[in-house]
Amino acid sequence: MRLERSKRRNGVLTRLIFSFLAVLVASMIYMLQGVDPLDVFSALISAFTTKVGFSELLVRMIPLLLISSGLALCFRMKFWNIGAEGQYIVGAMAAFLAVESTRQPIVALLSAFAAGAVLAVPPALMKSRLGVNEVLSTLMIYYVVYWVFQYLIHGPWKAREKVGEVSYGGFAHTSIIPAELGTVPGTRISPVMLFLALSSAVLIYFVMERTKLGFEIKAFGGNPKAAEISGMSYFRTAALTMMISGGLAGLAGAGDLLAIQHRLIPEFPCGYGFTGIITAWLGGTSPLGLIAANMFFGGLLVGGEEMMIVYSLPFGAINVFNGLILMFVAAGEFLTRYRAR
Amino acid sequence: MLEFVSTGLQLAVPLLLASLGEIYAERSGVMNLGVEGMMSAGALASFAITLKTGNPALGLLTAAIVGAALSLAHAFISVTLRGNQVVSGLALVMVGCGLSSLIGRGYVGTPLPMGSRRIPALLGQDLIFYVSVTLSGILWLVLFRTRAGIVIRSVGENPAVADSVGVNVHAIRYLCTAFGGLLAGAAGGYISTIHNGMWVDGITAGMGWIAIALVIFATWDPAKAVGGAVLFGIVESAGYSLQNFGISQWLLNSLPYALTIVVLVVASSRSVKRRIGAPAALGEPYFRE
Amino acid sequence: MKLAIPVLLVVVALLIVFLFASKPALINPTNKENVQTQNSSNQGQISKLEAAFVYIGPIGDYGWSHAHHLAAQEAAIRFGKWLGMTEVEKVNPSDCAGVIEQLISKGYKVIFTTSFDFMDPTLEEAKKHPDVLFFHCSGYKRYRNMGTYFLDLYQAYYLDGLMAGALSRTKRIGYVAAHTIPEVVRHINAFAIGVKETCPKCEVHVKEIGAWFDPNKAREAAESLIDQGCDVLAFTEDSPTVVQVAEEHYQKGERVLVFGHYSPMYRYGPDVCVSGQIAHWDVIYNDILSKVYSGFYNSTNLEYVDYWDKMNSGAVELGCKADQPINPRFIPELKKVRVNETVQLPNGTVLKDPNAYTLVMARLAQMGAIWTGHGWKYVNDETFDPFTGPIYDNTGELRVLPGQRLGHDALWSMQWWVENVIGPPLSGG
Repeated sequence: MRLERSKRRNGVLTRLIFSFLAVLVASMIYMLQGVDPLDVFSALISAFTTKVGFSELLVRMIPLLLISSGLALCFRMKFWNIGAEGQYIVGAMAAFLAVESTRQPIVALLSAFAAGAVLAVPPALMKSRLGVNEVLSTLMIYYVVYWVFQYLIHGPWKAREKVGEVSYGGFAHTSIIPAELGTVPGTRISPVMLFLALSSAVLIYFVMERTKLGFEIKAFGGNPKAAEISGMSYFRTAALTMMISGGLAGLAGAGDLLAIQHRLIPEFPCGYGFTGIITAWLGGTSPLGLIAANMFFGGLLVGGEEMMIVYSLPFGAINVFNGLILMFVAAGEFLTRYRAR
Repeated sequence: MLEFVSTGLQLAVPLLLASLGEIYAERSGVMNLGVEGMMSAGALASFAITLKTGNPALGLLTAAIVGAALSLAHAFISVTLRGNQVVSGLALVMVGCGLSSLIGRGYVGTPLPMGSRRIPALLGQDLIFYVSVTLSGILWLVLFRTRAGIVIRSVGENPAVADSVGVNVHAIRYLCTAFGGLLAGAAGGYISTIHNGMWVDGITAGMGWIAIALVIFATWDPAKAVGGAVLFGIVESAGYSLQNFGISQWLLNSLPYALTIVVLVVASSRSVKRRIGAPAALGEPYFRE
Repeated sequence: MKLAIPVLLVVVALLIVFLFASKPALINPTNKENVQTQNSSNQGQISKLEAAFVYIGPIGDYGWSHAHHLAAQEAAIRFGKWLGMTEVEKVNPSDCAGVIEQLISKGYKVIFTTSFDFMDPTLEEAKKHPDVLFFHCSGYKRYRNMGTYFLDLYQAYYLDGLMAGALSRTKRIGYVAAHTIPEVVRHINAFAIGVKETCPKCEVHVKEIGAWFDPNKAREAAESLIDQGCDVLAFTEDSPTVVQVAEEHYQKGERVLVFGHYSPMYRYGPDVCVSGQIAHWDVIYNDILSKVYSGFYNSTNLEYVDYWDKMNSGAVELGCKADQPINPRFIPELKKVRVNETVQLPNGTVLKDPNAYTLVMARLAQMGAIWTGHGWKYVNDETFDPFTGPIYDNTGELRVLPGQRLGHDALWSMQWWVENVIGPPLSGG
C-alpha cells in the first residue's frame, strides 16, 4: 500500500464520519451506564438551538477563537506553542494593572496584547539560538506564570472589599476593576470581544495569504532548511508569529477579565489555552474552519453543562465523551490528509 | 529533622515511575501528553482491585494493564493513523480522568484497610522505591548500552534510517508507548493504593504533568530522572519547612519549572546538545517514502 | 491498515471491560420527569419547586462538594413530592453565570451556588432575574432575591482544641490549613484558644498548603508537622489525608492523634481520631427549601436572610463519626486531666476544676448542643463563646478586651493569629 498526500482537502466529510463513530462508542458507554444516548445528544444539540445555549456557546467561543487563531499560525510553521494559557494569564494580569491605573478598557486591551506578545518571544529565541524544544519551553513558562499569578492573588494583590458598613479582607481575590466592557443585553457576550475574535480569524487568513510573513511561515512549515538557505531568518519569523499568537491569547485573557469576571480570582485561568490547541489544530488557518471548530467546542462545553442539568450525567461521563470525540477526530485526520493508492 | 527528605522520596516514586515510562515513549518518538489520564485510571483500577482482593501487588498490576491499554489507543492514533499526538494525548487525559471519575464514585469515602497497603520496607522507604530506582538503572543500561537501546533511540532520532536497516519502526513505537502506559498506570496505582490508601476524584492532582516536565528536566535520561524526581519531591515537601521563614508557598511551587527552563537552556549549548537534546523525531509521525 | 482494525477493536473492548467490571455511576433518574413537568410549574401553580445546586468541585471529592451533594440528595428524598432537583458539578467561576442562565431557561426557580468565588456571578444573575431566588454559600453579598448561608465550625474547633491540649504530650500541636482566609484563621484561632485553656504552654504550628484539595500536599504538610514534634493534628482541607497519616504513624507504634473535619472520617483512623466536626448542610437546606415552598421566602425579602448556623442548630456536630462526640478510646485519658477553672452550666450548676471530658461536655451545653449520652438536644441559647476576651495576638497586642465577645463582622475578616499560634504571615489585603 502506498500513501500519498491528498491534493484536495475534503476533510469535512471524513471528520463527520469519525465524529459519528465517536458518538457510537459514546452511546455504548452511556447505555452501559443506564442512560438513553438520545437524551444525551438532544441535550448536546440544544446548545446550538436554544437562545441561552447559543449565546453561552458564543461566550466560550470568543476566548477560544482568539487563542486558536494565533496558535493556528504557530502550528502552520510547525512551532508548537502550547503555553497559550500562560499568555492568557499574563494578558489578564496586564489588563488588570492597566485598567486599575487608567480606567480605560482600550489601554487594558493594548497592554494585554503587548504582555502576551512579550511573554511569547523567549521560546522563539531559545528555539532559534539554542535549539530548545518549544513544546517544553512554552509549557514550563506557563507553569512559572501560573504560580506567580497565584502568588499575587494570594499575596500582594489581595484586596479588601466594603459591603455596606463592613470591610471584608483576607479573601484571595483582587479588587473589582473600575471599568469594564459592555455586553449585549440579556447575554454575557461582549460585542467588542466578539468582533476582535472574528477579526482575528480573518487576520490570520490575511497574514497567511497576503503578507511576506505568511510566505515565510509556509516556507519554514514546509522545508525549514530550504527556507534558511534562501535567506529567511528563522528567529524573525518565529518571534513575529509567536508575538501574534501570544498577543491574541493575552487579548483573550483581558476580554474575560473586562467583560465577564471583573476581578482576578484563583480559578481565573480555566484551561482555554489548552482547549485552544485542539481547536487550532481542528480549524487550521482557514477563518471558517477556525470559527466552526471553536463553535463546535463551545457547543461541547455548553452541551456538557446541559447534560448535567437535564439528565444528571456526571462530569466524568461528559469528559469521556469529549475525549472520545477528539480521539476519533484525531484518528480521522489520517484519512483526510493521506489516501491509499 | 530530615523527615522532609523521606517524604520527598515517597513523593518521588510515582513521579519517577511515570517519567521513566514517558522517557521511553518519547525516546521512540511518541509524545504522550496523556500521562495524567493514564495515572488517574490506574489509580482507580489499583484501588478497586486492592479493595476487593486485599492484594496491593495485584492492584498495581491491574493499574499497569489499564495504563497500557489506554496508551495503546494513543499509539494507534499517533503511530498507525499518524494523527496529531498533542490532540490525542490531551484527549487521553479527558478519557482517563473522566472514566476514573465516573466509575470511582462508588469508592469515594471508603478507606483501604491498613493491612492491604503494607508492603515490605527498608530504611523508611518501601519496596517500590527501591524497585523503581533499580528499574531506572536497568532502563538506563538498556537505553544506552544495548542494541535494543540503540534501536529505540534511532527510531526516535531518525526513523527513515532505522527503517532502512530493517527496524520495524511502528512496532518499536507501539512497544515503547505501551511501556510508558504500563509505568504511568502503576504510578497512579502507587498514589492511590500505597501512598494515600484511598480514592477521591482527582487524587493524582496534576502529578502526570509534573512527570512530563521531569522528562525534560532529566533530558530523556532514565538515570538523571532519579535525581530529578528526588529533587522535585524534596522541593515539594521542603516547602513546609521553609514556610517558617516566610517563603511563599506559591513562589516555591514555581521553582521546579523555573529550574527546568534553566536546565533546558544550559543543556542546549551546542557542545552538549547532541548528547542530551530532545529526540529529533519527537512528535513526528513516520511515513515510509 | 490491516493491523489497525484489530488494534482498534482491542482498545474498545478493553474500555468496555473496564466499564463492565465496575459499579454503575449514581444517576438520579427522577430528573427527566422534572423537565417534562416543568411546563406546568411555569403556568404559576407552585405544585412543584425546581431547585438547582451548583458545585465548584467534583462530587467525589469527599470534602466540600461531596457534603453539599449528600445534603441535596437528602432534601430530594425528604421533599420528593414537591421538590425537583438537579446538580451541576465542576463549574468554573467564569462559567457560573452561564450555568445559572441555562438553569433558569430550564425552569429552575431556586438556585444554590456553593462556592465563595461564585459570589459575584450569583449577584449579577440575581439582579438580572428578579423572579428567581438565589442562595449563595459562604459569601457576604446579598440582594432582594439573593440570600446567603454558611455553617460555621469554629465552636467545634474550640472543643477540639480543649481535647488536643489535654492529650498532647510534646506540647506541640500541628494544624494543616488549606488557605489562610478569614474562615480558616477563625478555625485555627478558636482551636488555639481551646488548646490554651487545657494546656497553657502548648504551641499550635500551622502549615498552609495553598489548595483546598491536594492529598499529596496535605500529606507532606502533616508529615512535616509530625517531624517537628507535633503529636496531635487538626486540619482544614478537603480530604481525609491527615487522618490517614496519623493512623499510619499509630500502626508504626507512634502516638499521633487527630481530629476529623467535615465528613465522618472515623473509618480512616479508628485508633487515632479523637473527635472533630461533621457538617450537616441538610439542616440549612431543609429550612430554606420549606420556607421557600411555604412562601415565607420570596424574591423580594432575601436581602437580610443570612444563615450562620453553629452548633445549636444541629448543622455542626462534634465528633469523628455521627452520634459519637468523642472516641471512647480517649475518654479515660481526658478524664484524668484537671483544668483549673470554674464553669457555670446554663442550668446553674457550677463545676470547679473539671476534668477535660467534663469541660468539653459543659462547653457543649453552654453553646446550645447537649449530648445526652445517646443523642443530641439543642437549645437556642449561647452562654459561652470561645472568642471572649481577653485575647492577645501573637505580637502581644490585646485584640479582644476582657469580657468582650467578638461579633460576626470581626470574625468574618479575621487576619491575625492568637498568641500561641506559630503560622505563616497573614496579609490582610
